[in-house]
Amino acid sequence: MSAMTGAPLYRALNVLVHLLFTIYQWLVAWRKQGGVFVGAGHEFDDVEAIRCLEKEIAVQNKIPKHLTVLLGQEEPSYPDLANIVLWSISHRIRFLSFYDYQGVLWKHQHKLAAAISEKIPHKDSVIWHNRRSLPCQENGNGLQKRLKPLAENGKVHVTIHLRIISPQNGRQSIVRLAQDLCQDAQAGEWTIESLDQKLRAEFEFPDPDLGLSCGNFLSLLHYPPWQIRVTEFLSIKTHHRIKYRQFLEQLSIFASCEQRLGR
Amino acid sequence: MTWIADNSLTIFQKFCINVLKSGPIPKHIAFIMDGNRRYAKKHQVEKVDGHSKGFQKLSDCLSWCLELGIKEVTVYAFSIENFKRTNDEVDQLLQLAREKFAKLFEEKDKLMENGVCIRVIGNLTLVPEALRKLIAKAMLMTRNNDKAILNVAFAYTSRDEIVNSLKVINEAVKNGDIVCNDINENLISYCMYTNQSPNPDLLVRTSGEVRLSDFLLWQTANSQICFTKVLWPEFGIWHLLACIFQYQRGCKELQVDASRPFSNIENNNVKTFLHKLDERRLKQLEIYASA
Repeated sequence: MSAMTGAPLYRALNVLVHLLFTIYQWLVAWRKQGGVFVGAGHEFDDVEAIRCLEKEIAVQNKIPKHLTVLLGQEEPSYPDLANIVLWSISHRIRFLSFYDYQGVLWKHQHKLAAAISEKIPHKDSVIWHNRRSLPCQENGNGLQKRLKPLAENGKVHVTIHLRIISPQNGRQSIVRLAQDLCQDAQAGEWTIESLDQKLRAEFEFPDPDLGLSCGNFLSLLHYPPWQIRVTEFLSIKTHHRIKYRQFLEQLSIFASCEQRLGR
Repeated sequence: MTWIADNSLTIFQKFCINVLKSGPIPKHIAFIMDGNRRYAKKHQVEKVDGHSKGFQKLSDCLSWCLELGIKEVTVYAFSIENFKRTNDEVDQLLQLAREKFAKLFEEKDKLMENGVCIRVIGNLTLVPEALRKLIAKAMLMTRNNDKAILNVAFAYTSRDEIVNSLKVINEAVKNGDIVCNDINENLISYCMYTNQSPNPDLLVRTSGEVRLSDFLLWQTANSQICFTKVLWPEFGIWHLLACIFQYQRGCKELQVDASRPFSNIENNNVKTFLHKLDERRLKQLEIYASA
């Protein structure tokens, strides 16, 4: 049957196959949640799995320096993002960013800050970076001091740098750099290294090692392109009601990724 | 081994292709063809045999894409980072590339009949002269073909491409062809090695790795990205159809148009500069071809 003569049939089959696949996905998701029989046994499995994962991660000893979470097209869930901050601190991730393509998180930073305060009472644990105020525009010594764990009453508080990234930090930052350099007669030679240095200074964070993407499908949605050269992207489907176990599973997968860097 | 494999699909496979074709199909797919060396290890053959199998798979994949109506394919054949491999492996890869590009001219009639355009995107100054000559001749020979376009990223990294674009723009500003205010995302896109192509709708990476490895970082801003565990030499028609199926489902959720053409350039100075840039690049190819 040629494509032309069978067109309505092919279209109907296409719709049917997609529908069947959607039903299959619902069934798998329903079964994963334990159907209607979520009970104590299920929770015990979680505790056991968490214990194993934590042990595995400790042995692998490879934690991302900069974890970035791509919200995709999801609305931010502030308590869940605050959980990610808390878990990242507990696993000594130094830099954490949330990429919100739609700009909602940027507008409602105060809600995120409030959610974080509820879970992490020690204010100095989280060092915010954003456009309005740049607490890390300090001299080198000041920044170094804040990177070290803070000691108080005999307890050491680990700190994390946190920022919200938007599309403005991406291609537009390369455009701005090009405009600035073109006007600078002293710009010197243009190399990958020299441009990388300048873009790093503006981005403030190191390149992300690990990106957790929300949604059923991965699209970068204008995430800053320069910085994701070797970022490992893992899918968490959704950050809404994300569990600690899921977070650990991603760290464990990341720890087993091997980067050959061309070799 | 040929650049465009004969289409040996079964009736059932063609039927499934027709079912898929009634939904959205990417106009442009990019592939990171990863896994040749792991394939070689798995099958206990030499690495170069793994790469050779990889080329054969490219050829098969191109014929499937043609069947699916996917007009443009970009593949990551050789990264600038790959020069860090052992001398032996680099030599073998360059030798393989020389053989394949030389074979192009033996298949000239088939390529011209099928309207296939071959473009090599990358920093050709890093490519040995003999291979560069073959590449330039292949590009010049096929440049007016427009039925199917194959972009081969060779001696390529995205960062190198971005820096190259910015250098070209900087030179134009210094020459007075354009001014600083003319610099925008669109202009940078027009100065990339990929300036003749729309952005990919779909990027596929095989072998289970989940990173972009400095490939089309600028161009994939809105692309759907599909990571698949299969090693590239084992990538079959069903793997491709699965990627297309996933793409169709993603279209509904993401609703972004990755391959929207670049915005038209309204500014006459910029138009003139870009026209001169294209002519300069063409002239450079002619110099490489006649070396």
